[in-house]
Amino acid sequence: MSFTGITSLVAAKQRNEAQDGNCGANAIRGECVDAYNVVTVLNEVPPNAGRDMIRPNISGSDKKLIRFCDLDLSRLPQSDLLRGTDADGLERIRQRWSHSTEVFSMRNYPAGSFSEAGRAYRAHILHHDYGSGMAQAFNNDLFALLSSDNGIEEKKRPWLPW
Amino acid sequence: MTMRGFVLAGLLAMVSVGGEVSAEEVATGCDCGSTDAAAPCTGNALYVRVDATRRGSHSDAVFEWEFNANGGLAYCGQFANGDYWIAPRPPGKVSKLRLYTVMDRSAPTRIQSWKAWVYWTVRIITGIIVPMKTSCPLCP
Repeated sequence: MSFTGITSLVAAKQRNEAQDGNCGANAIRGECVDAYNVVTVLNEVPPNAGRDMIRPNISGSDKKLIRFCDLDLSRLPQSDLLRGTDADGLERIRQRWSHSTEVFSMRNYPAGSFSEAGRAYRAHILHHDYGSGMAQAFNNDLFALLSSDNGIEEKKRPWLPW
Repeated sequence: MTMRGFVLAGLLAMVSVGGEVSAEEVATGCDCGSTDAAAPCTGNALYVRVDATRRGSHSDAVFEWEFNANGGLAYCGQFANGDYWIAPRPPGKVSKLRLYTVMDRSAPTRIQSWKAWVYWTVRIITGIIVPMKTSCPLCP
């Protein structure tokens, strides 16, 4: 397989339901995903070898390579009313969303819908299988990132040793 | 120095003499940590483990990728969020990319870990008196 342009490769690991149980509903038995991993194929080596760059969007053909210096992160609100987290907590946030996608349900005519509105496609080893649980995680993580307990530099790179 | 101290010192000496890694070896692989676009990491494989952090989830997810650039090493590295990128080493394109995901059989799942812990605890305790004859059915 050869590539031109910027290409996103998205791998999904299907849940081993015999070993780890199903993912919350009989309607999506045999359809569940445990986690995703994205590898991006580029034309050339990015500036700073990508270490200050955000992974481009996985969907669509227009993939922008955005660096931290393209953003004014100081404009993000920093509230002392919100609770921050420690380095491990920031790393968990990074991992939770780095290995998730939000893919909606597909319809397989005439068999019917697949994935029950995207429920089967959630990363089940990282998220609650129901939408409200995932929304709660999103809100909690977003609020933690908007807390003044942690500085911008700390939030940018919770896991990298540089 | 106790006997244990001698053994430890000997092991450390062996490591310090024989365990040296050349700069070239350190600089290989997509985890080399380079932030220099002129001298990026090179590699032809990625290993990514996603820890099962949600309660009730037992198996970590492991992703393994293999790729090459016209049969050789490709440039590779990580974005700020930890996801990997790969790029061709000129001339040519990244090609023959092969992907597979596997369960890491060498790492017990959490349930297996718990059972293995009980197994080995029992075995260590009872082994002094009555060595167990059966092999561990749960360990890889």
